[in-house]
Amino acid sequence: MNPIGLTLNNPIQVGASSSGSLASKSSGSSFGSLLQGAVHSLESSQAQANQQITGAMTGQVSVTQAMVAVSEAQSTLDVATSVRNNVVQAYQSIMNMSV
Amino acid sequence: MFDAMQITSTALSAESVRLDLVANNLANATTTKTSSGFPYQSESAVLASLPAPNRGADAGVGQGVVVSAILSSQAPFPETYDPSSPLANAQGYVAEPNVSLSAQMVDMAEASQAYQANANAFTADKNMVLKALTLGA
Repeated sequence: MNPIGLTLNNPIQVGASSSGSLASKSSGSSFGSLLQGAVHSLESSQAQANQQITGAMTGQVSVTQAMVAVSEAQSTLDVATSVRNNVVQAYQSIMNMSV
Repeated sequence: MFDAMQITSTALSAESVRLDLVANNLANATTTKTSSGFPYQSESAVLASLPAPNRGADAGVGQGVVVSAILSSQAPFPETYDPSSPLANAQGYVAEPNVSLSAQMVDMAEASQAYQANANAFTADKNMVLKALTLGA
């Protein structure tokens, strides 16, 4: 269940601070959940950019704020694209490996 | 994720407000009567820095600037002699708005230059992100 449960038998690591950091590590650091979080933030930044553009067109938001939101969404998309490219590249180099 | 962009955007918004105030001051440079009964009073923005968080990736880094108040100028109204005006007092003088055209021009240039500086900082940060993505490629 807990992959690091075994190390807790070591009395040195049973301190409150170390158990806390281990717990957060086991819950949040799998690659799948990282990717899920990244896609989530990408989606929300795109949605926010859309909202800000609509606001700018209807005069509720200044052009400055709309362009900042658009730029941030663009940068988030750049980061996501770059991560995806690197992941696919790593996957392919593993798949092409002649064991 | 993009803290520098957020910080810069607060400055861009604040400088926009400053430019809005200059525009309003210039538009009302000859408004001799407002709803308060007095001539128009020149308005200016008071900027305040946003405090730095104690923890996290941005610990110790200020989070930008915000318009904390918009104050009316307390300078005396200059008076011009115009007995024919319905607003003239018993001596024939009309109180004019205390908008100083030269001060407004300086403020306008200042806000415009500050906006450009922050826009350049924004571009620089965006380029840094793009450059970071090419690391190791």
